[in-house]
Amino acid sequence: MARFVLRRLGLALITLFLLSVVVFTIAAVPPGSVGRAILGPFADQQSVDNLNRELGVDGPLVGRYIRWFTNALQGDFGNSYKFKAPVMDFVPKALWSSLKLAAMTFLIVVPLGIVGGTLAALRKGKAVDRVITVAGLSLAVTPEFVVGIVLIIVFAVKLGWLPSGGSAKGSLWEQVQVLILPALTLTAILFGYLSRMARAGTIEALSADYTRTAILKGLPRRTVLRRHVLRNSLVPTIAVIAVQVSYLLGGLLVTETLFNYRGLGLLVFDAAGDRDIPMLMGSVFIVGAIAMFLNFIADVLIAWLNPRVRLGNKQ
Amino acid sequence: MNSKDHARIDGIRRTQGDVANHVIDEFVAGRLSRRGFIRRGTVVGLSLPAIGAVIAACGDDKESSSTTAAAGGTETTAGGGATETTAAPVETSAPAAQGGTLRIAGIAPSAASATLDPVLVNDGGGLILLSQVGQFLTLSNPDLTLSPSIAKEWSANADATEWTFTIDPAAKFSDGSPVTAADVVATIERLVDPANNSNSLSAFSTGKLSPGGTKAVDDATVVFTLNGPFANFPYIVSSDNYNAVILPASVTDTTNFAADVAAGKIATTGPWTIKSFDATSGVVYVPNPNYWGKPMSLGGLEVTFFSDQAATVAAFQSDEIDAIPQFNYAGAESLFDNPDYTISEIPSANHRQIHMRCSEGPFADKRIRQAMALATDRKAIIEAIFGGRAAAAYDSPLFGMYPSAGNVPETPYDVEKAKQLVADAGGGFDATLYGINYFEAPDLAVILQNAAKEIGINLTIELRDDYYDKNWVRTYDPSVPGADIGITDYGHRGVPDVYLNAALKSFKSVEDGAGVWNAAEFANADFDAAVDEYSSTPDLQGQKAAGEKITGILQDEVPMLIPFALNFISVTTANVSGAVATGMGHYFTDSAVIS
Repeated sequence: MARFVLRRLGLALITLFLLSVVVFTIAAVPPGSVGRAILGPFADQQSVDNLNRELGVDGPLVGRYIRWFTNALQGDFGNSYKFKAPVMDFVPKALWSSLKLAAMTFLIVVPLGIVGGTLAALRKGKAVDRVITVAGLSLAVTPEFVVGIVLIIVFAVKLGWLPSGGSAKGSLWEQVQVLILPALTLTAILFGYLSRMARAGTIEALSADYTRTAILKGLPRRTVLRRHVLRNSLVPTIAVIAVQVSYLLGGLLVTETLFNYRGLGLLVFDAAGDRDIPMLMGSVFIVGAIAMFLNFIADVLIAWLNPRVRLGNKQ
Repeated sequence: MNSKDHARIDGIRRTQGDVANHVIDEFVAGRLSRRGFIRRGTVVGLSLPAIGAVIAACGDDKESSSTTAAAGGTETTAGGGATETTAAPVETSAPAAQGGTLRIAGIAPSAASATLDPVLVNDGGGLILLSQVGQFLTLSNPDLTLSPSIAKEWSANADATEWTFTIDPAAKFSDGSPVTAADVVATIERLVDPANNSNSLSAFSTGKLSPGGTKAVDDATVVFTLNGPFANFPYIVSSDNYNAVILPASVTDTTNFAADVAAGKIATTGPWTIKSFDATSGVVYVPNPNYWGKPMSLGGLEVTFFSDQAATVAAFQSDEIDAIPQFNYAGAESLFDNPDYTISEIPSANHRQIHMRCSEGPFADKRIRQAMALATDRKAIIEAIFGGRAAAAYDSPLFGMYPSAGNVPETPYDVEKAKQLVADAGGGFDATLYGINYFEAPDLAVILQNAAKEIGINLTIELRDDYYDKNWVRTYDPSVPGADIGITDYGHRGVPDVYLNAALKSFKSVEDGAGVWNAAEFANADFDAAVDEYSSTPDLQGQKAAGEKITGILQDEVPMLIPFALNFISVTTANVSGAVATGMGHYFTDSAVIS
């Protein structure tokens, strides 16, 4: 297991380095001039050139990358061009907001997806299975903004039960109120994926030899499900969850925009629009690093749940 | 008018300068309507009592004598029922609660505006925040009249080359210190200094003010000496030039303006001061403890930033905000049917220019440009994109809302004639239509593409985020490609001089300012002369005559299509009154009341 963990860690670090190169290359070679984006269309070219020089965005790319990566490893992503303040004044706050939304979403969607998928698998081919599968699929293919707008119109505008958006600030209850609608929107999107994974995993586990053996040796159905079916069926589901975490942290542009929720997705989007390269690179790099870390955790979890994974390499 | 009335008018004339007297004479002679007199009178520095006295002496009682009632805006409540004209706070029958916090929607400022540096603010998101804390020498109202603000009066010399402003002795900063002429000089000199990259350089260039042209005569008097005659100068130091917020002379660094105001390091004169500022989410204002204006009803102001109109509308409909200072009709149609909301519509000069390059390329032949104008169905565009909430324009920035516009003939929608012109010019061709990638530009581009296709011109649409860098003007950087045809957005101005000077006059140099935004590369000596005549003529009739020359040349040469001028639309909940939106994008809340 230790060897497996070390190998995965090494791979994660290499990926992190590659990520930094990709992030830098994409962010540092944007269309248009940084100086022009900051000073606006009416500034004269001389001022734009001066600012580009001042910001160091007109030097050689390699030198700029080395300087950025070295500082990034020490947690210094430079100053935001837009806010004229350190990037790290903004990213942790936005990350914390995104984490709250992600946590709220997972609190709803993970149990719902696993229970729904398992239930569908146990009632395979019956009405319950069809309802869960069709509903999950339909919600997954419905654009986020459609689901979000419907939820806002019903629960915020018509019924007035919940706020239509805003930041998760104030008391815990106030934060929960703000988070419910965006979290439900994301739940609608993710439920389909998770329940399908859980369903497929459960069906596979139910038909596996070890399950049949467990049933034949007289174990109670609940024990068979908990110890043998669920443990094995969760492996693909955990992998999907790990991937979705990075989506929830950095890719929620539509949901965050619709609910005016200031998370990392919106921060990245605004940074791209404003040509705020340090902010863009810092936030994307951090999201990437977190995604990698979560994938690493997921790999370890999967290996722990399923010895074949960790032993497979050894064999 | 009897001899007594003449004597009253003579009495007023004796206290005014030549330019103001000319306006009075025009009104007395009947060449200027009452509304035009009010508008023009405020520009040249006639006080409201003087305007009222002249009107009374002329005995015209057909229109209200209130200058604020001359507004062009309309306010609609009860699902489109009653409509009233307002520029001043609305009277409400419900009792006004003292205090209360007004919650309004805002847009996160752009990169240039992110710290609210008054020198650099360049967008609607920034200016609406800035004008809550800052004030200007004069205030440009929704009806294009000017009101005193920090300056209580102003006047020009005979040829409008020198303007004298007197500072209101009551004006003071939030730290309690009085506003002096030295503060005004320091503020304006900072903005006209090219080294500071001020966003208002083009405005001051249009206003013919150069560094060193602003002098303090005494503590209360500032004189602006211009490079040439300019009759609309008071607009250049009004709220229309949103960078011209008057700051103490002691302020030398405005780069962290919002934070410094919040920390009490920079004093301002406006009704509010900043309690907290988060450039990503919003601003909380508290009353300026030393505000010198009328006592305010509100106890606080909160601006929440939204990135999306759907989210803004949802928050408004959910009672999470009380007002949306500006929104687009498309996507917010539901607001117009709700009797609980008060919609305010102000005609503005906010417009889009579709320039066609005159110097080279497929649009260099003016018959092609004329054909494009004839193939553009303006009324259909306005109906399709704005639900009718815009005014048709006919390729001249002298919109009907400007008293000085003169007669602007309508360009007919005539596809057959347009086809003939294209055929005469050698037939159709392919071209790329570049443009901004926001507002209604994508819809407008498709409509233009279809209109052009009908007359044999195939346009490929390329709306780009970096349009301003690459496909707008070549004046700042001759190496950029520019565009043969492109869509550019222009904000509101109380007078059209900036559009004429910067976007249409022949380009000389960036320093000169004329033609720096001339994407069409239009160069016409007659037009330049007409613009000079327009800018330097102090009387309205002269401006109208010059304006008609300008429009005539533009409609013949068609360096750009200007199909419409937008209405500026805002909304409040029914219990909010008195907030004033202007076409420039300001949202003045000092008279707002929550009932």
